[in-house]
Amino acid sequence: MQSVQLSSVPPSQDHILELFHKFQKQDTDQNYLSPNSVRRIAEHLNLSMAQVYGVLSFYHMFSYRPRGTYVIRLCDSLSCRIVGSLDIYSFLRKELGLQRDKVSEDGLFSLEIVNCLGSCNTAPNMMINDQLVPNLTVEKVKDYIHSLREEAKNEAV
Amino acid sequence: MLSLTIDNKAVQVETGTTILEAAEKAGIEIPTLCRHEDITPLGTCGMCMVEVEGDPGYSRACITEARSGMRIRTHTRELRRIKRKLLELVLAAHPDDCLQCIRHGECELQKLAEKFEIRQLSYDQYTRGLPIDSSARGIVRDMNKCIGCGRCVEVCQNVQTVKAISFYGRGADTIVSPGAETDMGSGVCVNCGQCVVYCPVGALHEREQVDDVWGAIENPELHVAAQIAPAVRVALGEEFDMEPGELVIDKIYEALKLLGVDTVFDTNFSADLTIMEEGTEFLHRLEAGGPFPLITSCSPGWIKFGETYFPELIDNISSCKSPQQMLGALIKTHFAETRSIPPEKIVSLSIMPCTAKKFEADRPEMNSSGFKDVDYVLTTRELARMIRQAGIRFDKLKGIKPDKLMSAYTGAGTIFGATGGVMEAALRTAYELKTGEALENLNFEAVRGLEDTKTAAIPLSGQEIRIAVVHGLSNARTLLSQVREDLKSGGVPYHFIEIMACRGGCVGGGGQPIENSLYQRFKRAQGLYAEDTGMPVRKSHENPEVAALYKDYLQQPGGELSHHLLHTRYHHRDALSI
Amino acid sequence: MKRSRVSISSYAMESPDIEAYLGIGGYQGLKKALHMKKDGVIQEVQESKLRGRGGAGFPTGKKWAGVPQDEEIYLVCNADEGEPGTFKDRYIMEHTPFLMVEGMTIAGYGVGASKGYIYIRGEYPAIAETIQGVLEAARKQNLLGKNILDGDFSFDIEIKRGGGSYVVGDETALLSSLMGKRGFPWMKPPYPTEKGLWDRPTVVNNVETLTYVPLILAHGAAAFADIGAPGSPGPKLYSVSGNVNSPGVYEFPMGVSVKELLKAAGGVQGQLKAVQIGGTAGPLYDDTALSMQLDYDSMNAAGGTLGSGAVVVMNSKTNMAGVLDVSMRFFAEESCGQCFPCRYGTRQLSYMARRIASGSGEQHYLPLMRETGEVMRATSFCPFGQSVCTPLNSLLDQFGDEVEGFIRQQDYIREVI
Repeated sequence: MQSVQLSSVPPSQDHILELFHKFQKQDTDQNYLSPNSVRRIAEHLNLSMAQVYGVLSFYHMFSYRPRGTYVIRLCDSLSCRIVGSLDIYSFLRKELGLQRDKVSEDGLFSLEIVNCLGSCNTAPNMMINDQLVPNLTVEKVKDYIHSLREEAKNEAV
Repeated sequence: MLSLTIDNKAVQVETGTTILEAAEKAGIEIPTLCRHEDITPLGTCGMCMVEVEGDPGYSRACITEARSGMRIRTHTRELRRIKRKLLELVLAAHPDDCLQCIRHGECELQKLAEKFEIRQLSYDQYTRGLPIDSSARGIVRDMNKCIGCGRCVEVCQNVQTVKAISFYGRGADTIVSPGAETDMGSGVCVNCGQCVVYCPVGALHEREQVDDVWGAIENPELHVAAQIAPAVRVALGEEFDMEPGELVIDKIYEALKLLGVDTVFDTNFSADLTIMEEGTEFLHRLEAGGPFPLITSCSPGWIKFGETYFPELIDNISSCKSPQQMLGALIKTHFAETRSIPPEKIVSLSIMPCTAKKFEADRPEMNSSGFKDVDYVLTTRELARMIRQAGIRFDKLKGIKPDKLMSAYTGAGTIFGATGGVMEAALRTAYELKTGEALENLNFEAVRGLEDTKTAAIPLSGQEIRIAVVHGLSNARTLLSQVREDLKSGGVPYHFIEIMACRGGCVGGGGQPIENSLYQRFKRAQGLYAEDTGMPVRKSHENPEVAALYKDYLQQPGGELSHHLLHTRYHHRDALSI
Repeated sequence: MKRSRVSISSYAMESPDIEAYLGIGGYQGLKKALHMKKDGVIQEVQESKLRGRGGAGFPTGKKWAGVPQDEEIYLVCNADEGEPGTFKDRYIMEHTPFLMVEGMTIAGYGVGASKGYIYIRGEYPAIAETIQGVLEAARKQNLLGKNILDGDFSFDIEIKRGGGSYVVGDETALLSSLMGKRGFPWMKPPYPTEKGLWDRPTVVNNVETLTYVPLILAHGAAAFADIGAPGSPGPKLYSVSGNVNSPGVYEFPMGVSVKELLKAAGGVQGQLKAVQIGGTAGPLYDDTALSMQLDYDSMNAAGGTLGSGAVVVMNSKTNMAGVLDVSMRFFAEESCGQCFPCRYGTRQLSYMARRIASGSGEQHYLPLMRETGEVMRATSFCPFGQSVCTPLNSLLDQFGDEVEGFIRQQDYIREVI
């Protein structure tokens, strides 16, 4: 992972969410904001730690705790629930051995239940990191998880 | 002027007045929970909703401006029903332990529940189950009780600009926090306790040391020696239904003795002593041509703030300890020797209007004598509790005199409790010591009062001495940011600056009786100035016990023993520590 | 789908291409606008009777006309599409982004703004990247930035990404978030057009609203006003999802009936049980919804709201206790927490709905939930908390028997998360 360059970001508070996204993506592969990241952001924007954590904690895409390398966000709003999000959830729980907001033991996956992802015509939906994975079936999810596990294995080698 | 009617009562108000303020003028009390007269209204709680004829729905009286011709009803059947339900919602999320709570009897939520006659809760109750944060030396944070009114956040971020806490989380999980699963003690909190005095419930309160003090008093082997801060003597009476500003120091001496304290001294004595030490320091700097400004150091909330946010100015801060710490050091040395009591058997107790004094007493360097200067600090509120626990009828006490040696004080010492008081005391002495002349008028009106920043230029032996007085840390921040800039470009903006962390000065400290409004602070300060005016001796350098102390023990102000016992050092603190 | 040129979908492309867009008449609207006075542009939009497409339905021209003179005026495009069942703005940004950007530019000119922001919800990262490319392409063609089309008008746009919060779709909460704070709404008045970003006049418009603006300028206000319901004219993008055969975005003249819309969406899968119209704070209807007309005035008259134009269809397999749980949970998870009634109220409502759905419901919950909704309607700080009672009451009104039976039998749905 690479260190985030701050020089191109103006030091005003309206850039805080942008910095959260940047640091969360680039600083580690656990999709979270370490205390050091938060510190660098506070320093750059001339805010106190309390203020930065205060904003961070409001927006659910950010985490101050390490998450999986792949953050799965499964939608369970009404349109997705109507067409079977619970089936996908049941499967993910068993397959990954995860409850919501938990990280798998190998650190590869974490599961979050989110509200409407804005693609209700392709429900059920989930996102894996920045990628929307639409039209979910248990089979599709199974294949996806499998290929991600393969990818992780190859990268480790 | 606008004319409107509230509950059929006609009232006239200026443009810009809120409905709530208009109702107050009309003698009508609209219930509130998140609102405080000293703080910008936040409109979070919804308890102040009123019906405005012609306007849709209901309006928040605290943030809605009055308009001419408004017809308002504050307590219709519907409104009462709605507010009762709203209170039930709040209470269902609040711990059920009023009887064990520090704010029992003084809690705004309790008062509202009583007002609305809540007899049952329709909702299932729940609490957050969070651990209590007692990491800060002066303040305890219990987020199970936080109702989310936002006053503390507003005060810490905007009034004090310490920014140690913020709203954290979202929705019903919202609490107030210094960070993600971090505690106050390891962060930038300066323990000023302004959050505590504005908290409507028991979510933020002082770290209690009453039991420790009882233990010391009841231990026959220990000798407890106490000191009382200036600001306490005009505020403690409020805990016993007396008026703010009423001078009750004689009763305090008596109450302490009745509680079992062995020796009673007075911090006003060491306030006079501080003037000697700091006055000398100032005159040295005048001679040496700097470094300017000299900044006062008796407010431990300000000290931590300065160490954190203005480390470049650390060398400008007076090396003098605060009066509390000076007297504590002398209790463990001079007093111990005088009375032949081994210092390890002495418990040094101070009664303070301040929560940061608990932090100051525990600063590791505050033991230059080899023993801790101050062992326990009790806030005004804690002392009141002890007095009640002992069954003492405080208001009925006749009052006694304190113990000789380190309790005599002048008018200059007592005004330390008000913003501008230290500066005024210092000027009275510095002027006479430098010019050799007596001052005609001892009152320096320019440094008195609640204005944010007070400045003056004092002619002193052909030199113009520029002074500034600020209270409330946001004003300190503004002033020092300017000073920092001026110093960079080589200017000398001020020679002497007094900084008090709390608005109003120590009379508004974090340990003072709740209902610590600016109005109360003003009245308390008035009490101190009145005491000063009536005193026979009003200049620190004319304090006979101070003179005796130098003659018999310290030798001279700024001398070797003074430096060892009565002076200290500061260190840079990380503004981003968590 | 309409063939008329006054329709967004007629400009749809697989992926954005500025040359192609210019080729089919793109930026004609801006060119016309720049030849008019600012006030003329505002007047054109006023005459079109375009009403905000985000959900509030406020007349757009009126909003623009209320902007005072100032050296610093901001235009904000609200692309925080978080309303469940709504995905029309995604459609626009994926398939007709240049139309949106052109609309912003025209709006900027009309209100006197020199800076625009597009606040894109955090969950649309690919779209944010797409729009970044769109802005660069527009700049290259001198259609954005300094001295647009070599004229005096300069206007540029910056993308701001959100971080995962529904409530920042509300106008003032969005501005709080854009400034980098927690997404708390603030009290109106003063309105953002008076005091918005950093206390400057700010116009906030929904993506779809701005996307119709170039069509109004290019084809004239009358062409727009002639389409659909007279009180709220123009085409509208409807989002249809749930138990229908072809869920998707459908563009119809304002006022299309639910029946016709569902037909276009391939018809209901199974037997129609319930329809929720307008988004998560909209009422739930039984099959009487079929005859309803989907425009602002008709829906308001029927005691409902068009909202974002989302239509979520539920068939007879849908368990209403489950719907209640999902609905109340949404509000509890998304409440910003600023005001007491909403913070505590949504928590209690979702708690009770949860217990009902998991077999531990109690009969007194139902009247208590209604009462809680009423208290929230009376005392919440912003429309979020004020509107919770709408889906709650309508669900209990239409399907109260089912929910009561569920409680009586201590029945439970298969999973609560």
